[in-house]
Amino acid sequence: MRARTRTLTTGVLAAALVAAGCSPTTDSGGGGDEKTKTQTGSVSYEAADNQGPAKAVDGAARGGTLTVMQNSDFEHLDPARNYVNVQQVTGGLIYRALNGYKEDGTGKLLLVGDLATNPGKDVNKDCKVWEFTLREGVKYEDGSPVTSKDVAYGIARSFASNLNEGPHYIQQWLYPGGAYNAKYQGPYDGGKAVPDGVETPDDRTIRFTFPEAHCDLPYAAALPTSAPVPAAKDTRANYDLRPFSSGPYKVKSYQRDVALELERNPNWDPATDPIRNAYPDAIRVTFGLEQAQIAERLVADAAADQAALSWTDVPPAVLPRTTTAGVVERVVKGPTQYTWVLDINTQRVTDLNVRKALNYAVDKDAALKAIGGQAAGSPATTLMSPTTSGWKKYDVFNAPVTGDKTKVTELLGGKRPKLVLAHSNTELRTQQAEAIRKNLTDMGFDIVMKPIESSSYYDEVGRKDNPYDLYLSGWGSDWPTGSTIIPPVYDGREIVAEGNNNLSYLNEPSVSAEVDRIRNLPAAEQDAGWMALDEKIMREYAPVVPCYYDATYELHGSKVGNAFLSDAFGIISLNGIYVKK
Amino acid sequence: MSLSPVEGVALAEIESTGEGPEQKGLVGRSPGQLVWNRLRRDRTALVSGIVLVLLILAAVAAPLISRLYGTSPSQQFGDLLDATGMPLGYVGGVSGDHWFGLEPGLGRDIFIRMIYGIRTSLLIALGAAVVTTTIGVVLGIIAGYLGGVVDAVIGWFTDVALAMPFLVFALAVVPTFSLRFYGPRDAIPTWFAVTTLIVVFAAFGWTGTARLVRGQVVSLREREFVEAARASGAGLWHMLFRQLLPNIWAPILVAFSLAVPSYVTGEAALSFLGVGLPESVPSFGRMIYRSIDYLQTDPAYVFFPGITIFALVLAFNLFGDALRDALDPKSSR
Repeated sequence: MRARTRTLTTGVLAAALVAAGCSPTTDSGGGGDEKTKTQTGSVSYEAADNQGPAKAVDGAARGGTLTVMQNSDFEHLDPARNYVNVQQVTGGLIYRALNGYKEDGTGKLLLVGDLATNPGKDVNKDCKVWEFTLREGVKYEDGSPVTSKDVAYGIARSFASNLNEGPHYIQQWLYPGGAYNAKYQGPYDGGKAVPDGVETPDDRTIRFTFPEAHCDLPYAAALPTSAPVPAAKDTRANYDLRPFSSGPYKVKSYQRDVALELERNPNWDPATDPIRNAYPDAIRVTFGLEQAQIAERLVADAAADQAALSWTDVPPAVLPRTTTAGVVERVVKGPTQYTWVLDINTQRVTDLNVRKALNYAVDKDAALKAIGGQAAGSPATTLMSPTTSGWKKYDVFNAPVTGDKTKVTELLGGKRPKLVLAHSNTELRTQQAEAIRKNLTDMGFDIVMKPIESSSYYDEVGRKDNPYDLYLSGWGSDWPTGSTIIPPVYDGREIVAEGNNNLSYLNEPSVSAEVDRIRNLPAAEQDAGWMALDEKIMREYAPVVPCYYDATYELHGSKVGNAFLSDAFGIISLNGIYVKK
Repeated sequence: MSLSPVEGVALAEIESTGEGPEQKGLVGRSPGQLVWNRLRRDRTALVSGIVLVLLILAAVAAPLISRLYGTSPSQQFGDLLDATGMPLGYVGGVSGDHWFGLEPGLGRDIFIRMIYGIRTSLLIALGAAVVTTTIGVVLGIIAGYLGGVVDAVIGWFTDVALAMPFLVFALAVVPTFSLRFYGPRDAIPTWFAVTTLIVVFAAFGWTGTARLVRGQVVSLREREFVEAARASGAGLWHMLFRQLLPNIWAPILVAFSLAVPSYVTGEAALSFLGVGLPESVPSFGRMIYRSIDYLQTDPAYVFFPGITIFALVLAFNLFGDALRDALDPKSSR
């Protein structure tokens, strides 16, 4: 999934000038005390993991209102259109998908059945036919039962062209070859009620039949497109504003750009839910606050904000204030599944030596310090993030983190390539681009900086014929295996005219062939396969400069209990969170 | 602060009317000499003048200072930042090598960026002030002298320019302007960005001077010396620039000196909004914009550029005030 962008901070601090000049800033930890952890993600068929209710959290109490302070409103809450991590975590409180992630904050990430009794039965052991049985007693907010027909309807409507913003793995697998909705455009305007390959033999069973093997289906079924939508409640484009609840909370009010208020769904039965504890009585998400303002309020921890948290990263200017006692224990930080790379447009920079030189040249330390240093991430050498299962560290170039000038000079062979570096025009991204420009200029490149309006940044660089040579982009897996990183971002067959994810436009038949080979490996061997392909791409084609593994650095108030970083989403999880009395 | 020029001027007036013991005899002085004498005796003018001269010298000699100081404005000292990008050491990294400390994040030297920032600011502000004053004087003098239809038409243009919201216009025009001349892969040279800013300021800034000059000319054009010149058959050019202009230099000079600081802050505002200069050009506006976020965590970053732009703008304003007093001591304040 595409990373949320680090936003521009325009907040003018209304605080007094304090005498911060009394104590020196010292270099603790030497820049690398962030440990990267590898996800121990696995699909669990154990009855104990798949049975509700969720394990109680020590010391947790029901009740209270939890506030989430956000910079900007969600784009979409409709399960068919929900593809951004903050929306997925919020949506997960309102509706339940077939599968879900069970986490306890120790780094153990289990994929278990959510609506389904287990993460999916591989009927013929060939990953082509998958069957899910829904739990008994799962009810909507009006007390009516959740049926498999509603799940099928939810998937059907995700094919509609005006609800196209969500993930389309299952959709593409049902109709392989060509665009996912070329043959079926959803149940509206006379379309079939369910897509080909989806059957609901009874109210509690849903079966998927794919033309090709897809052993990743349990993960794909954890995405919100498999959430149930009753046809009678479908308001099409307006469903965004009021999804019909099958989870622990229902929408009380939703005022765009102001606030979303959730209250308990009295018909949700904890005994049917192995994932959510749902301790708070109400959850309020407020929008429209500046990033710095959010961080300042959480640092100050005033009575009204003690039961609050934010999914917005603490901006660099506020970072030093989060290291004092009383604040530091309220920081939730850690690596996320996003890797940020400096894409090299391989259609323009065709000389492999220049691409290799760039890999030796980029000062990853400077690029990171410009946006908050180790709070923002740690230097990267691989394409996949350390949270991917099967990840192994490798470094093709073995350059120092600040670059290796002799190697660059040697590879460039006296040339001075002129490259255009495009960047999003937010303050932090501009600073970061300037850090890279200066560094590459010193290393022997001529760099032209081109700011792009931040809201259309990915649209601009996602055009196949974009006029730029270098640009930063972040990509995170949709589930912790390489199959949602390497194919969408490095397989040349996925390149289209606009809206590309393959931003280096690498189009190498050998990579595509390798992708196909790995996809057909037994599930157990795929992780190693993706990791090997990751290294092969860097070693042979160097289409990007891996810059840093993104890290998150969030704050919560002193009355928020059990706030931990979700490995599945890279932000604070809400499933087991509680408000301290 | 606002009282001292009055006192100074009053004193100067008394002295220049011959009360001083050494000025008993009649000494012939040109108006220029009189102004200079009044200015010299005005302490505010003296101090603000010295500050201005120092800042202008620093701006002109920026490359030399950079060489002596041993640091270039785009140089980054990443190794002097801690792991989260904050400058190491006391007061935002102040040290013998970096007098005003380092910028958090990129680790650029604040002192040398400020010197170059003064250069950028003054270049744009003086350029814009010269252009706007020239346009304003020419249009104002024509409108005032000719009157009638010409006056009405120029008046309409002035009203239109005054009615247009400057910031909205600048936000819309500046990016389009560069796109018109440079492709998506071309670097936009600094001179072009600077020229664009001057043009944008000029498009809006001439109205004040034009109205001022028009008013002055209207009050002068029926005077005897104008009648006399007209009667002896002087041409339009001669009337405007030989007869009228020399009589209205005082308000023009004052308007000019007050325009400069307003363009300094204008450039800062535009860079603040992201339509000013490219990131690589050191600019006061951008520095201050970035530094505000660090008010609590790195006050030195806010303090040094803030105090310098404050001094620059205040010095220009005070000097402008003092100049007006010196040129026209009888005008009411």
